Amino acid sequence: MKKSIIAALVGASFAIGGPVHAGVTTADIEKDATTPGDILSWGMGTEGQRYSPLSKITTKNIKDLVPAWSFSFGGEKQRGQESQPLIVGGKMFVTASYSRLFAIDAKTGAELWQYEHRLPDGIMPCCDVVNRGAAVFDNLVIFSTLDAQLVALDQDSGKVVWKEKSDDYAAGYSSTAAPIIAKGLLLTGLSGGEFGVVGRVDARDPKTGKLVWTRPTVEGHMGYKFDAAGNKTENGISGTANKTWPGDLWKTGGAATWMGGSYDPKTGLAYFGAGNPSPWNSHLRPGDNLYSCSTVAIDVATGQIKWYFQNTPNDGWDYDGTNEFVTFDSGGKRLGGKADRNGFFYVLDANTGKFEKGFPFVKKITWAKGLDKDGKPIYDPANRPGDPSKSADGKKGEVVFAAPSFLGGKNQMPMAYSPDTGYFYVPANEWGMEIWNEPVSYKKGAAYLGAGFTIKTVDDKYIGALRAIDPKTGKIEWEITNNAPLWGGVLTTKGGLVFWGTPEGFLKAADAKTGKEVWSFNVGTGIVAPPITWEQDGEQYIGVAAGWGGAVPLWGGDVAKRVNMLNQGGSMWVFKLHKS
Amino acid sequence: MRRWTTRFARFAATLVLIGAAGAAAAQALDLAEVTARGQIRVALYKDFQPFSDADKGGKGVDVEVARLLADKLGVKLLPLWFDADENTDDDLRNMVWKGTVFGYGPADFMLHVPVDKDYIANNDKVIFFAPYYRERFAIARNLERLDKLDSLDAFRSHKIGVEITTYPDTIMLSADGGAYRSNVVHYKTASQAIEGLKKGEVSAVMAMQGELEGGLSGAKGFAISQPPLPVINRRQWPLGLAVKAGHEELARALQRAINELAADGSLAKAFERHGVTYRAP
Repeated sequence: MKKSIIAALVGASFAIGGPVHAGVTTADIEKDATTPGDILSWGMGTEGQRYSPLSKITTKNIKDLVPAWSFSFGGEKQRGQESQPLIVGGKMFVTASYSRLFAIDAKTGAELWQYEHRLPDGIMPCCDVVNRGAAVFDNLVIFSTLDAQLVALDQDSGKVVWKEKSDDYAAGYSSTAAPIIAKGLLLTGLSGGEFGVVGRVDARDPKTGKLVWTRPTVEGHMGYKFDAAGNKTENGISGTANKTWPGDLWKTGGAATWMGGSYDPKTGLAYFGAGNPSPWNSHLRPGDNLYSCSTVAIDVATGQIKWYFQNTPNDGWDYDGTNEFVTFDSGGKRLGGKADRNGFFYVLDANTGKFEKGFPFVKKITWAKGLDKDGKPIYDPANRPGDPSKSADGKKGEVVFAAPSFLGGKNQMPMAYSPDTGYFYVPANEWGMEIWNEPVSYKKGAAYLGAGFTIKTVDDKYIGALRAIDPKTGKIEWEITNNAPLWGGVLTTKGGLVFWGTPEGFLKAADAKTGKEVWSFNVGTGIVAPPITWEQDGEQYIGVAAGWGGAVPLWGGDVAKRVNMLNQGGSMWVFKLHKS
Repeated sequence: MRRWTTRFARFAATLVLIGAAGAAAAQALDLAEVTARGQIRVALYKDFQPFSDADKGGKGVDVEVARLLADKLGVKLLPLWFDADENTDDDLRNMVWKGTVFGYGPADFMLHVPVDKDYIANNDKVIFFAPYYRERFAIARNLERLDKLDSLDAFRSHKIGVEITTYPDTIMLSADGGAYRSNVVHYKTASQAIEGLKKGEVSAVMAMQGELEGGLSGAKGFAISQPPLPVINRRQWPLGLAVKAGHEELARALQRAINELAADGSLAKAFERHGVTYRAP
């Protein structure tokens, strides 16, 4: 065996049709949601609404929606395509599993160039081999890699312009999320396993990759600013050291920002979700363990935390707080919505973090009896996994059932919001888990007290459910259930449509108001990525990356029965209206 | 971050990526193929002193044992270094029966695998055999600060180092209602904790006895003893080898080789060279 990875840069620049771009600017990105000829940010607008003002495709004519082209990512390694593509001047930039990036002619599907990142020996990233997308700025397309690097490529040639290390992959850091651009800065989170990583948000100069500020998402860690020469100065500690953590556990607290963030130009704040605290067992770390399982709002201008809202204090169920915070206007206020792993939907004031409303978006929640007036969970102590010291006699600990499962009422698949209907479209899953302390466990040659767990379905008929949720009332307006869990994101349009994909391979569309399914197409492998739409030469296109993978197929038990027949893949599918 | 990710998608090292020789992804081999190839691939933890350490060309007790075993089989040793995953199930999947998601591994056999009846009963993917050493937890202490250790009470005022997310970590954070929690100092590895003990950052370290003996070999002023806590000091476990299920011929050959190495004392010598007391399983 040899280590040979090809940092292949295939092809060069091509003259292609479509609008000529003089380089993507901050202003372009801030109004991305309103310019349907391009897609310049993850979320189709950094607010993350995934709403397009395009209305050429409607419930009436969608029966004529047919494939325009399909493109294979190739290679032998597939394992899940979770990427949201970007569209700049007629070029599509889509990332693929194993740290690859493809530039494709958005109209014809012809490859312009591809980049395969050279991954080092000894790499051990925590978080699967997926990638969720890139950012664009000026003439660059920028993405993060499994070995925790950021790579900026020239949009035309695919050549590396700069490359910066986000962190040390050998220490357990990795990167799978799409970076975002906010106020001219490149913002990224980090992935990490249970190796004692500490979550943070980094801001860089997108032209050079040089750090501008860094903000830890675990209480007690110092944030820093960097001047043009790279000199580092202290920028204040996040929170208060040791206030919500016992002993020195804050030093290795977890709270990884592995899904990246959103940014709202109206508030000037970037919203990053932080993952679960470490160690996994909550009994070992009494306290709220800030800012684990929280949304953290960071003032992009200063790199300071403006507010935080913790969804699951002292998490004992692995309810990562990483899900996206999507801002929207309602009743004269700027609000944000988050469908948390823990099964509750939260509506907060986007400027202050004040709790406005919270309600379940899944039907079965057992870990908490509800939310109090401030949005804090009312725990059910009987459904908290047990204390490991209580089962240290070598016997299997007590089995606790909790719903949702640790894969969440919603996982990484982003939801959408339509200002037309006023609904959030949430790709939800109904499932629970059994969890117990497992004394017959070993780790690196030593006896270990692990946790055993298995996922249980809670309904015979379905796990997945695309739900239209009214954030004003908390009511589920309609739902379309799905046998397998949903793992792709959602798109909604002015044309009155909602698009989403299923593990069974169907890209589907429904009437945004009524939930009537109006269209579907089978792409031949499971969909775990969010669809996009854009306009080119007067036609509206719909696109989605296809390729079954991600976390779901890794699980056995009840879930396996619904997914183990699905095949992996790796391709980009694009559709448009058929003209006779 | 979620266990599913850590559980399923870490990998130890990357050899072949997309394109290249991915199709020729390795498979664990049985004896005839190993002999025919003249080479045996052995899975060794990358950073696990004093047993295996990929630095400086690779050294440690397990590296020596692996070499002795390869010699007995008359084949060349090819170490496949890897990082420990979240638990041994993951290591066995990555390095013995399946390989990582990047096509690294599996090896033909792995060392330092627990040979535990309950554990074996739950794993049908590999054969566990040839126990060659017996391990347990111990506490190493600074004798100037702690001349004796009759109970854990000392750690109400003294700091104790542990490797993060290990059994000693869990025990020290949870024992006696969390009485010692504020004095537990977390290190990334046991060797870093032992360095902390030598530098005086902590008064004691709880880790595997072999790690403590190896790490403190030649150092003065420290003692290693059993933890004064029945739940942990009663526990001992044999460590042995694992091959992929179905590779009985290789398992038998390796078992014969281990028997000979135990009988002629070369196993004990390999441990002693690294400062570790050989504890027969």
